[in-house]
Amino acid sequence: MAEGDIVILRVEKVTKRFGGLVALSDVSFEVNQGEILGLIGPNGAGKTTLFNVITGVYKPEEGRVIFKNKDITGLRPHKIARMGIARTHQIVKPFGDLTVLENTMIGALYGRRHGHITEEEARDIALDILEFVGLKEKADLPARILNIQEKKRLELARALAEEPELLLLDEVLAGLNPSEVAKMLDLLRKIRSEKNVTMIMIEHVMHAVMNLADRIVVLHFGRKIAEGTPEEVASNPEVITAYLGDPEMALKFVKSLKKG
Amino acid sequence: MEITKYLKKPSSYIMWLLIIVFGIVGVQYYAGYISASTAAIFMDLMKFIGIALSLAVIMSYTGYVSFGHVVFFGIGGFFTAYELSKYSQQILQGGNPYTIFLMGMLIGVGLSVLLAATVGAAVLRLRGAFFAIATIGLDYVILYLEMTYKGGAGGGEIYFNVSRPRFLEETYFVFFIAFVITLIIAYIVKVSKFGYGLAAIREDEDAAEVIGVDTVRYKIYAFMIAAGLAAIWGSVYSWRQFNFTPENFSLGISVDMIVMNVIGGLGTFIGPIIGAFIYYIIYRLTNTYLPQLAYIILGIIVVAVVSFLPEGVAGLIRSKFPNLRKYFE
Amino acid sequence: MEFISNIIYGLIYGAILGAVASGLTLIWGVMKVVNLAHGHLAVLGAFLAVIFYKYTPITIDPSLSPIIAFIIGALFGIFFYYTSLHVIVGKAETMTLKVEMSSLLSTFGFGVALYGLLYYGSAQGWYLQFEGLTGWTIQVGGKPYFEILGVSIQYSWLVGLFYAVILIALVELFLRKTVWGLAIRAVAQDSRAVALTGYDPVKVKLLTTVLSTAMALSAGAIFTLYIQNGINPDLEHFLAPLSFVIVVLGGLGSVIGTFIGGLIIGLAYGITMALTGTQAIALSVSFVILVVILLVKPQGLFGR
Repeated sequence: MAEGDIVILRVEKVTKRFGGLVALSDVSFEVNQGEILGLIGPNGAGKTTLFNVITGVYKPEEGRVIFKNKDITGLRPHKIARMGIARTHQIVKPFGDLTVLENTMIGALYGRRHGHITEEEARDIALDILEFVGLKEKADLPARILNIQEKKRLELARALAEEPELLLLDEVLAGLNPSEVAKMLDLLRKIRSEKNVTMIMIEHVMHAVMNLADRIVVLHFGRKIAEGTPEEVASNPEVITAYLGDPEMALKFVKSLKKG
Repeated sequence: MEITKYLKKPSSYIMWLLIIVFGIVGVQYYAGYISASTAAIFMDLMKFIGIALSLAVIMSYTGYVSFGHVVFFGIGGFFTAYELSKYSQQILQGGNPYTIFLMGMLIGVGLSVLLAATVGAAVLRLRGAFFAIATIGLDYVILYLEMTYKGGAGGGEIYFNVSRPRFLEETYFVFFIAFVITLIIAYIVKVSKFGYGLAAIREDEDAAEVIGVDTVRYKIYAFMIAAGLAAIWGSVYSWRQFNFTPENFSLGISVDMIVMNVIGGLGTFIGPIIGAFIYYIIYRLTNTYLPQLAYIILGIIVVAVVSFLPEGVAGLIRSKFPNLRKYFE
Repeated sequence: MEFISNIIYGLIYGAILGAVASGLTLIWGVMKVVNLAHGHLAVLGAFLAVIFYKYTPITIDPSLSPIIAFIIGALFGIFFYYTSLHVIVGKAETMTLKVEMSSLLSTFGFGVALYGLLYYGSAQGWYLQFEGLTGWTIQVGGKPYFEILGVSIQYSWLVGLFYAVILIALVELFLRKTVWGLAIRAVAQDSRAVALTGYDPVKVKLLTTVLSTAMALSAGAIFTLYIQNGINPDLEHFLAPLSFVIVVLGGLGSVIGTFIGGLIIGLAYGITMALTGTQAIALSVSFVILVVILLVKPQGLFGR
């Protein structure tokens, strides 16, 4: 962590239980303004749960979430969204009967500028963003008829329309074919260079996260087992052991190491 | 001003057309060029459109099917009738029935909105069918409470008399004012930012909340507006009938409201209006020619529309004629 | 003494209402179809009991009517499925809220049509003016009832109670002990899971609808054995809401839970009747129970 970095999000000793099941246990880490943080770990490691805690969908039993020096633990999701945290969902959730443009406008209307934005402004922002993500020609189509790749882009557009400072990406690459993955990666790089948005990305496509992320946090059974640059994490024996529990993942992981 | 901006959008043209046509009919009726029976048709249509739109705010815009929505219609009617019968002496001695009517309506609407806010805070936490069933329960509970009222002839019945010269002609305008209020409120709710938020809730409530829509508050507001509009129609209906009976809490009226919304198409402002027109035609035809078959035909139509035309007639028009979309919001 | 009799009547009544609700818990709990035609289907069963008693060339004793109503109900269930449900739920892999609401509305339409048909039947005097099962009793030793704790209980009620228990027990056994029962329970989780087990999800959905419809009609006939008179299409306004209360109380998809839920509602009903003597208030109490359960323990008393 370089000197002078501004911490935008601090997760402090967060624990979340469901009944007897511990989904997150004493997880702490920080995210600096402008960086891309990769969040990896085998299935069931608690990654999506962590997003749900940050966005207020779940309230943690213990610990705090600090966003821009404000304690946001336990706030309702819409309040957190308006403060400037947006997210995409692993299983896309477009507003199916509304048009692509309307979907994106809702993001603009209710996002960070909630209450200080007219419909016309929201429409302009939405059109800009749709052009940015490459969906402009589909603006007037109902969202439900888009294909999966387009739905993922729409999900991203809707989140970006909120004009967030922090964007949580939950497996935006999953379900895409290799050429679509490449396009989406370009888009993510573009977001980073043009929009100046801090990002946390959950990703299973290892070479992508290794390439894109500045730092990586590894979760395993709800615990943070490693944190550091991609190189540091990749050579961490505990991380490799964790992935060996999931042979397919371990293979991908080793492959991504070779590429790195 | 935001509101005047909405009222100039192309999607408001049909609303203005309706207001003009129904207004002209009223003037013609008052002037004696239109018979009372023809005027009655227009009054029925206004009521049908009115109650369909009242339910639309919560069912069609927000996606919460309220089977007990008639409860607010009943409450509005009850307090209007109650006030009018309570002050019937004053009215007979020359008092102005309209002030008393208005008072009763305000009480009915106020209590409906209050009930929607309080009960809504609890039952709007339920999703899908659970909400629908809870509202049926609400209707039953209020109905049974109401039936314990022993004011007039039987349990829960109220009769009053405000008859005066030109009562029917004036009543047309009472309906018309309620009609204009309902149309404008339902339209603005639909096309405003609030309407976008409700649509987001209808499509995916969890996603809406995460995007920044205060879903809890929005649902309650929508329920309150829907309740208030239904109460207005219960109130003017009582005024026209000179009475209130427990029938005004009958789930049959809820059925009417739901069927009109389903036929017309969910999620639009124009849907319930088209649905009300179609429903009214079916209703008149079956009642004239096949009264015994009315429910059978209605039921079959609902099944057919839900199965083969899930977006209703408005949805069909919008997808077949994309250029008309901007008028058929 | 009247208090005790009200409680005993309430329990018998509750068991029978539990049977009426049991078909609903199957189609709603398992298939996620909120069947708003359920009450109308039960009324159809009640009509059948009267029709077979009075208006067919061969009189069939009402004590057999639950069996016949079950068979006719199974056939009617096929009709119900293909007219109202197949297009909406047949191909749906998972029941999203939207599909659920569509099925709710289409069964609602089917119910309205069925109500119209039953009403048409009664109004036209096609077959019956609904005096019900007048003149029918089951006598043992020359008396239609026996007394216990000073409460007189009709033998015909016991027949109804017997059928109610048998119906619930058989369905529960079917669900637990047969492969088709397993397939039905698997549909509750995910249609695709069923496909993996080699069963055609559409067939499983059809079977669930058929079973649920047969149960509804059979229970309607059982209900007729208990009340005997006052069989008319508007009974739906009583049976359907109570069924929903009982299903929610018992926990969606739990047939046994429904039976117990029925007993609880019957008891609440009996006690309120004993205290107030008003049916309306007794019904309101059921709904207050419903709303409280929905808000406090939405998965029901016996739900997962």
